[in-house]
This record gives sequence, structure tokens and C-alpha cells, in this order.
Amino acid sequence: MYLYNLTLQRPTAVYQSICGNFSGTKQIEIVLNHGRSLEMIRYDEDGKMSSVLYSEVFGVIRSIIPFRLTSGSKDYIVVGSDSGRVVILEYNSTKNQFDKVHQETFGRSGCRRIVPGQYLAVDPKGRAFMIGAIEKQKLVYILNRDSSAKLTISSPLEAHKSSTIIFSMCGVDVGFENPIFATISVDYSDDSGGNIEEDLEDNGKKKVLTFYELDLGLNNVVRKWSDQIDDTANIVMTVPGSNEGPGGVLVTSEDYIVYRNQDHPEIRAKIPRRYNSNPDKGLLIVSYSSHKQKNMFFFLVQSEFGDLYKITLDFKGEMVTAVNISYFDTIPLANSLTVLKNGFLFAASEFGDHSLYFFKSLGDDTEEGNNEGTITMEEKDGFIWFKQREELKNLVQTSTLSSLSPIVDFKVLDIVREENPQLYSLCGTSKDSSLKVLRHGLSVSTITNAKLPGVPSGIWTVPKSNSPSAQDQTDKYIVVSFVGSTSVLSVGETIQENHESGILESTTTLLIGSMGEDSILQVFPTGFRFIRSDMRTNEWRAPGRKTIVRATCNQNQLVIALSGGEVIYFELDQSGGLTEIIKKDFRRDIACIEISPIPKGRSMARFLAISDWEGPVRLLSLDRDNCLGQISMLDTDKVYIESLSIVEMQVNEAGVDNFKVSSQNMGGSLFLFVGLKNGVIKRATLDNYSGELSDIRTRLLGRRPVKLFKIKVRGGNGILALSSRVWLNYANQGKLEIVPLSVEPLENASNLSSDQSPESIVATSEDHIIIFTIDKLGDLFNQETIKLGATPRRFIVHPQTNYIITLETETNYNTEQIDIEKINAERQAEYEKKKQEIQENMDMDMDMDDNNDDANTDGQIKKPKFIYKPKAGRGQWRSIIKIIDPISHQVYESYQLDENEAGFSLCTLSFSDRGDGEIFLVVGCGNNVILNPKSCESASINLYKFTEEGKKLQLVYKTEAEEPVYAMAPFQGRLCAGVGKNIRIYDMGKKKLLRKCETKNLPNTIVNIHSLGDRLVVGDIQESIHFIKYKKLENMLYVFADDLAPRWITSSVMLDYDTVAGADKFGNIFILRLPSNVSDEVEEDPTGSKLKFESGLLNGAPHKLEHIANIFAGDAITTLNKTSLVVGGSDVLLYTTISGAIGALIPFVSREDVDFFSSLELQLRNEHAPLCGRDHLAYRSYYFPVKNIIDGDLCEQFITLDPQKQRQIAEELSRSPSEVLKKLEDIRSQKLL
Amino acid sequence: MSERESLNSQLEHLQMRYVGTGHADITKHEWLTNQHRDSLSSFIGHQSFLSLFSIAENESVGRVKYNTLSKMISPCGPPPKIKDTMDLEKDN
Repeated sequence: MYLYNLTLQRPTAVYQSICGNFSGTKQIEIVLNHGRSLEMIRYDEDGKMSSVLYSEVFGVIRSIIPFRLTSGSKDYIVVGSDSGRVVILEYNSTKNQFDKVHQETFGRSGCRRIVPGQYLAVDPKGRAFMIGAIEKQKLVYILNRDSSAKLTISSPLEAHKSSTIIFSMCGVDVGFENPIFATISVDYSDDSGGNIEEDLEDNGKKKVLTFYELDLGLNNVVRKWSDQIDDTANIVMTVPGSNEGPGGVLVTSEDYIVYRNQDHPEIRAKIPRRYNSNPDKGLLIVSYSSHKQKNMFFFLVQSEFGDLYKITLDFKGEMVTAVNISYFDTIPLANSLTVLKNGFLFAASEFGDHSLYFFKSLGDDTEEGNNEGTITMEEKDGFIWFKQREELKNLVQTSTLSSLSPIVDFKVLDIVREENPQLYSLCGTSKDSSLKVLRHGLSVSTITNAKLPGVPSGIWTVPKSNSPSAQDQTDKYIVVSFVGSTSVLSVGETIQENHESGILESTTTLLIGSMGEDSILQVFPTGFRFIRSDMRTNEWRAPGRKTIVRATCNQNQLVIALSGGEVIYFELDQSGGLTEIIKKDFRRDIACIEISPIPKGRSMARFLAISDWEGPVRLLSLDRDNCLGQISMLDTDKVYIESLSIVEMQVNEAGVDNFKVSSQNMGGSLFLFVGLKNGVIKRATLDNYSGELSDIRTRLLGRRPVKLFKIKVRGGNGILALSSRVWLNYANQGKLEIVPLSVEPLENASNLSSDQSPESIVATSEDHIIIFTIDKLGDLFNQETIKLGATPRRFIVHPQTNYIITLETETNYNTEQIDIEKINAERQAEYEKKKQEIQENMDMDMDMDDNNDDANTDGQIKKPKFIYKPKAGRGQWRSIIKIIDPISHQVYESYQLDENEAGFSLCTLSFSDRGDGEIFLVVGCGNNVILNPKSCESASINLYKFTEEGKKLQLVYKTEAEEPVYAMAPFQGRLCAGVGKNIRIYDMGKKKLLRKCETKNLPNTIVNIHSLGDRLVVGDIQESIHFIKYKKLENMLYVFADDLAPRWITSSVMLDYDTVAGADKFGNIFILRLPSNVSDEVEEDPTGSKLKFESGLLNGAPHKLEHIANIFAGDAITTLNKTSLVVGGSDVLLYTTISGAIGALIPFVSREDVDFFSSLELQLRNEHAPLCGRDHLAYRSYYFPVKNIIDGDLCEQFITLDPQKQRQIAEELSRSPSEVLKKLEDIRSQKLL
Repeated sequence: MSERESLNSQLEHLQMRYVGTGHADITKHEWLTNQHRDSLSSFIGHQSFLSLFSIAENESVGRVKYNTLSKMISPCGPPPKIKDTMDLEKDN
């Protein structure tokens, strides 16, 4: 089996964000680190973000940092990755890609302890940078310019110190003196003596702040200064120096922010705390950013609860007198904060959508009289307490980048019966969690939806002026044609009927076009009317009994087709009237006719596409010397043709140097689109000079005939293809894309430009007229969100009602909506009561036993566990089961489990012994679970029945289990549950579930179970997949096959009876298969005696699974699904990751394809080394060698190569570049979306 | 130079260069500490791991990262007391 790995949805989690002028212009750009890819985004003045570039690097990006050479105007990016190399990237704005400027190797690849790459720090003046490992190694590179102003990099200077763990690193602003880097580190070396008695937490392991000085004269790095800091210090930040500030660094630690510098006393400030947060637990700063402008700088830091603080310093010269911390606002927890130069803040959320904020104010408490905005600070117990704001005061959110991260559970289903499946995913954590329903396609926002008097046959819009230089590009009229009548609506503040347009209203309209400067053309069956702006009208009548059946026009030309097959060609003459040029009889009824748009710099178009009902589509010339003569044709295999369209689009063609083409101002490439009756669209590239048709692509769009309409998309041209679904064809970042729109099926459409929205679409659907705009171009999915309250775990769909049942379980839960004071008071009271009772008992027993002491009484009852804000505290659990209607999104049931009872798995089943087929819900729970080290007080399997037509739950009973149940599955009308490392089969009893069968031969903890026939396939938390056979006669379970490799399974799916695909925490996806002889042997063993006495080596199973395929996907995989994404398409293996990526493994059908793609992959590996210096093959073989999986993500980078390389690679494969591109596109479109 | 000596010096070189390289007399504790440090640093390097832990524990990623780094200082606690030969003899 060979598979093709393709990313469907890119990772959306952002681990780090930086900003700078990467393209060298004034524009501020943000670069995001997605862990395995880099993305560059821009934003406009309104704070709307758009993605400019996305680049997969095939490596793990651990850190990025921008720097700018002294007096330079362009920022470079230093990338620390797992490649054992440091890479400096430069953004190339003409090619829109990152160029590797330097690549310096220093160590082994992989995220290793002592190989640098984890930390990066630059000198604020851009003269040097330091790259550090977690332990020991630090290297300093000096940056400079050579005579031709190119960036140069020195050989590395070592600043190693063995047995030290580094926590944070930054550059110190020293102006133009020798660059200094600051680190926070701990030396662990002194624990080798073996005679340490004292507690390790505060023994000799001192955390120190160290300054390393790079001596530019001597070319070495020395430890300049080192001093002890708080034990909990975690971040060191640069304070602006030289003329702008005092220099030095800020060190954050639990509860404190301290200013430190050499030869300077430390200045401390306590971080204000939220009311009711746990006073015993320190408050940690998790992300930070600084902002510097003339005469002013400040820091913005975020605590682990999401509160933002603003830090300013009071200083005189180089002496700092105070560090001021004030509460700023509260936003979702961020991995990385970036204050942008022009008053924006980008927050890359840990989980969920990333946001761009605008600074409304800097929180300088100017409005002290106003009680509304200010917060009350109170001093108590040595802390300053504040109540956090419910709403933002200093920030305004301007836009978001949507993120699916983390996808916890995921299924592809069509529960609302929409023909195309929906993607259901559980996303987010804690209070920001949600169930997201993803549909392939762009979302639209409807502006108007109105009923019309009849069913329209066509709709057109007329612009106010036709010349492209006109100021006002908005539309004047919307013209709607009905059978036997036409109505004209004028566009303005409101849309209303207009009878003074000059358009004939008593007839069906075939075409409305705007010609010349501002004239309107109306074609109707008996003739056409040409209306000038001064309302003078000319009319042309069709000769004899003939009627016009089809017509097409551009600005200067008009072609009409009469019944019987006669075609007449008109041109706009000097006087502004239409003159007949030529007439030709084709002797066959014309089905479609389409004239090409006028190329830039010319007055007439040269091509006309025409077809009769059965095709082929002929391309005719409009040149005078060969007027209406055939140039080329496109065969449609006798399928009826519904519509034709020729458009010009800005697309990068394979193997052609596009920069040259665009510099010649050619506009774009011409494409001929053909919509067929059977729902297929064909696209061909039309040569601008010769009229040759080439590179024909075909795609099925739906069940209905495809109608094509031209529209405007982002200032360029686009095509709306209407079938049973609505598709948009447009050029996106140089690539022609076809995406569905999430709207009802439409019949006619046209572009509409009004003052309110310059790019909207007016369309008709049955007897309705709809005006809508397309949102978020470039997104693959549109999302519907159903809010959940706690971290989701699993969801299933009820097999009968199709309701979604979700299980949310959260430890250390969010308490923002909970009255914690009341609960804590109750708990305290309960404790007091119990204590008193025991005391009383004690008093009574006193005479009998003298051994009463207080410690003993306390030992018998536990101290109350108090909960805190905003998080309850360790070991406290909350768990909710919800029943959600997938159509109305209504939450019918929100069933809260008992206090500190945590649900981990759920399934629905009906017990066959009951005979009535009633469906129950089973939930595997644990009480007072502690995650690390793993323990629980008790565990149970809870059985619920559905009431009120499946909308409510009712507990039937709980069955005791020894360990929390992480996996369950229905098995032959009974329940199969993984209780710790035991597989157990339960049946339903009167008062509890009854154990029927059990095997204890599994290694650790069972995390998933699949059943097929009498086989069970079980995934262990760290020992991969096990095949188990159930012998009904003996009522016994046998583990008969397992895997050779240890794998930390997160998810698995059965591909067939003998094959299973699994994924692990490390990001590997693999396929295992039972050897066919073993499978037969197991099936043919009627007594099971063979199985019983067979045992493998070292307690393993007697048989081993064969390893069929393997790949490293980049980050922790959360789910695997075997599903088909296109109607009637074959199955693919879909995987989701914790960073919000969705990918697919597509099985190859033919050997030919395998050969083609593997040689393409090989070529690309050689010719196009990954951006950050990692070897592609080594990366995909991170933990296990890649096997039988071809990396489509690498293959698709073919399109980004420069034309010469494309040609070279294509030649090696003995194909043309466009053929390679077609193959790449085909495999994606046939199997995926 | 004898073969044994050169082997020794090679080993020493390796131990200098690559932290965590074992030797003939490595104790269980030392070995385990190294294993833990290697794993912990890998978790920090692959950010998706920190996310995973952060979801499980419902703590912020920054806190999880800090905890993981702190754990690296002494992942397995202090080394067990070395029983000297006198004690061993007593045991026997």
C-alpha cells in the first residue's frame, strides 16, 4: 500500500510571533511560527489581517527573532530549529518567498538538550546574535556587511558552560559598546557528591542572571557578570538603553518583576493579583512584549491567568528608581505578544483564535474621576489585589485569525443530510472551548434576500461608467428578466424600480451589456436596442421570422446568434453606433456563444468561442483577415454544453517566468471555461496570440448543468459556476482555485458594485433575489461554532436521533462563572462539622483510650480543598455531558457529573440480551483523579438512559471499576471496556454491569478499542496496537498479535479486518497489518487451543504485526478517521493535530502514479532543500523511518519553484511543467476538497 | 599508546562533547537522570507537547514550560546514598 500525505488545513496554532519591516518598505509585517511552518501576515489601517505568505519548512521551528543591521531599513529573521543549523532568512517581495541568506551548521539535528536552537537573542543594534540550547551550549555569531552591502556572518564564538539549564535569554541594550547577552540559568553540577541531605527545592541550586560580553576587538565571549536572582525567575527582557532608557534587564519571577543591571541595586515590584486567586501559588508571567518610541517605552506582560500588565520604569540617566506595574486588560492567554509600532497589539493565543487589538489608550489613568473605567486596587496580606475587568478598556479587538487549535476530537459525518459531509471538531480548552462544524467552502454574508413577482430568467448589472479610469465604479441598474417582461432596478441607498432607463420592459431580455463609454445594450429575441447616455436609442430588428437566441458582447463588440445557426458580428464604430461587420451561417443551432475580453492596450478582442448543442466548442477569430474562421476547438465528448466563458486571470503558469510576463504588462492569462449539462466544468488555457487551447482540466461540480457568470473578486476577475452547489473560480496568490460557496443553489448571478460594498454578488434563486458578499477569501472551510463550557474530551453521535453527545472534563477547572466564596464556605463548614463530630466521638472514647491527640483527629478527615479564581486548583475536577441538536445547535441537556468525578470515555450501545434494542449511554469515570503520578480514589462505569426522545439523560446505575476507563466500545451486544490494563466484557445486570470475561495481558493502559467480528483491536497508551480474539464457546479473550515498536497511541482506526492505522503523541502515523497466514490461522483454529498455549518471547503476543507504512506528520496527532470527503469518492485517512492542522493520507490506485510521485519527491528533495536546513527525509523519519508514504506537501512545493527548476525537474520526469502541475492538482481535487 | 588508553581517551572526548554519554560505572540514578533530562528537553523543543500537557493539566503553556524546565534541574531527586563497603559487609 502506498499513500500520499497532504495537508488539508494548515496548522493554525501560533507558537511565536515577531514583527518587523521584512519587505523593506514602511509596512509592518508579522511573521508567525506555526511550529513547522512560517507565515507572514500584513494588516491594514483598520486592523484587518491578511496572509501574504505561508511556507512549510519541514523541520521544527523552535524560535524566531528579527534583527536589523545598524542603519538598515530591512529586517531579517534568524531561525532556530531542530536542524542543528542556524538560518537567516530574508523576505523576497518580488517572488513572495523567504530566501535563505545564511545557513551555519553547528550540531546534530533533532530537538536535543545541548544542541542550540531553543533560545535566540539579538543585540539591539543588530551586530550579533546568540543562539542557545536548553543546556550548556551557547554560540554567538557576529553579523556585518561586506563591501557590496550584503549580510555576512562570522564563525561561531562559544560561550558554553556545562551543567547549566537555561531558562531565558535576551540581548542587553548597551548602545554601541561591546554587545552583551543576558541569560537566566541554573547550575546543577553540585549534586554529584551523593551526600546532599537538604531539600532540593532550595538547596545550592541557585538561579543566576549572567551577562555575557562579546568583545568585538578580541573576538571572544566572556562571562562578565553574574548574580543570584529569585528561584522562580523565568523570563529576562531587554530594557532600552543608550539614549532611550537606562539599559539593563527586567527579570520576571513568581509574583515579582525585578529590574537588574550590572553595578546597579535591584529594584523590585510586586505583581498585582486577581481577587480570590490562590495566595499559596505564585503568579507567573508567561508572555511579554515591549514597545519603544521617542521619549517613551513600556512593557506589556501577561500573567498565566490572562491578565495583561503594563510596566513602566522611573529612571534618571542610568539609575532606575522604581518599576511600576499596573493592570491593563484581560485577553485570552497568549503564547506570544507583539506590540506593533503603529498602535496595534498582536496576541497569538495559546488555543483558539489569534487577535489583533488596537490600543484605545495606554491605561495612563487620565480618567481617575471616572469610576467606570478605573479598577479598584486593594492591599492585603502583602499583595495588591484587583478585580479584573469583564470588558476590554484599553484595547479594542479589530480582527482575528481563526484557529482550530487544539482539535481534541474530530469526525466527518453528514448528520444534517446535506449531500456533502460536515467536519465536526471539538476545539479549544476550558471556557474558550467549542464544537465547530466545518463545511468546505467560503462563507457568505447575505445583504438582501427579497421575493420577486416571478421566476427570473436572467440578471445583469449596468455600471455607471464603463471606462476603467472612471472614479465611480459602482453600478447604476440591476436588470432582471422574466418570461415576457423585464424590470429595471436602480442601485442607490435603496434599490427600487426604475422606468426611465430606456430599457424595453415588455420583453424577455437575453443580454444586457454596457458598451462604449456609457451606453447600454439590450438584446431581446426580436432584436436589440442600443441606448446612449443621452437616452437616444437605436434599434435593430432581427431579419424575417428569425429570432435572436444567444448574444455576447464586450465593451466594443457584439455577436448575436439567430435561430437556425446564423451568426452576426457587430462592432462599435467611431460615431458610437453599432455596425454589422460580417454574417455567417453555421447551419446548426447555436447553444452558447462567448466573446473574449478586450486585451489591455487594444480596442478589439480577437477571439469568439461558439458551440452548438453537442459541441465541440470552436474558437473563432475576429481578425478581419479571417473573420469568424476557426482557430482551434475543444471536444466535450458529445455532452451538451450549457455555458461558455472566457476570462483573464492573474495566474502563475508552470515553467513560465511570470515576473517577466507581468513586467511586460500582459495583464494575465486567458482561460476558456466550459460548463456542461452533466455538472462538469472544463477549463482550458487560451493562448493570447495563437488562440491555441491547452492544459485542459476537468472537474465535477454537482448534479445540475453548470452555468458560468463573470464576477469581480479582489479587484480581479472570477467566475461563479452554478450547479447544485455554487463554486467560485478565482486566482489566489497566483494559483487558480475553485472553492464552493456556502449559499443555496443559485440560477443566475452577476457582479454588483455599490457604495456599501464594492464587491458583492446579486443572484437569483427560484423567485428570490439575493445580494451577498464573500467573506474570508482564502479559507478552505467555513465554521459554525457551538460554545462549550469546559475542556472537551470526546463526542459521539446518537445512532437514532443523530444528536451530538459531548463529554467535557476539566481538571483545575475554570471558576469564573462559579460562586466560589459560597462553595468554600460550605466546604469549611462541612469540615468543621466533621471535625466536631470526631472530637465528640473522641471525647466519648476518651475514657477507654488515652491516645488521643490532635494530629490523629486531623488524619481521619481531610482538610477541605478550597477552590480559587480563576482556576480551582490541582486535583479538582468538573465534568459535563451535553446533548446538542446538530441542526438547531440547541443544547438539550447539560448533565453535570458528581463533584470531582471526571468522565474520560463514552459510547452508546444497546445490550442484545435485553432484546428491546434500547440505546444506553455509557461513560467511563474516575473520582479524585491525580494525573501525575497517576492515581485515583475510585472509578466507575456509569450507565445512563435517554429520556424525552433522547433529549435528556437519567442515571441508571454506576458500576465500580478499579481504574478510570479510557476506552469503551460495543462488542457483540455487550460492552467492552478497557479498565486500566484489563480488557473486560460487561453485560447489563439489574443493579450493575456484570463482568463476563476479562484478559489482563496488556501492558499499561488501554486508550482505544475497536471491534470487528470477534476481533478486538486495542491501543495501549505506550505499547502500540494489540489484536485480541474472543472465543465465544470458551468465553475467553486471547491477545494473539502485537507490534514490535513501542508507540504512544493517541488514536487508531481500522482500515479492514486485518489492517489498522494508528497515530501517536510524537506525531507518527503508521499502518500495521496482520500477516495473512496468521489471520487465516487464527480464524481456522476452532478450539482455540493453539492460541491458549502459544506465547511469544518476553511476554509478548505469539504473532507480530507487519509494519506497512509510516510517516512523521509534524506534531501530536489527536484523531484519525477513515472517510470520504467527496461524494462518491474513495476513502482517505484523515488526521488532525493538536496545532489545528487537518491532513490526509490518500491511497494510490495505480503503480504508475506511485512511480511518478516518488520520483517527483526525490527530485524535489534534491533540488529544493527545506528552508530551515533540515533534511526532508530525516524529518519525515523523525522517530521511525518513513515508509511507503510520499509527501504531497513537498511535491506541492513544485509550484513555488522558479521556472527554470520546474522545467528541469519536469524534464527528469519526462513531462511538461504544466502536466506535473495538473497531476498535483488532480490528486488533490479528486480525493479531497 | 595502548589500545585501551586510546579507547578511554576517545570515550572521555565523547563524554566531554556530548552530555549524557554513559560510562562503565554509571549508576542507575545517573542514567535515569540523563534519560529524564533528554525527554524533558525534547518536550520543550517540540511545542506541541507543551500544548498537550497544558490541555491535560489545564495550566498555561508558559507555566508548563517553566515547570518542565525546572524539572530538568533535578528530575529524579537527589542521588541515593552510596553505601560504602563497610555497610555492604555489614549487610552480608
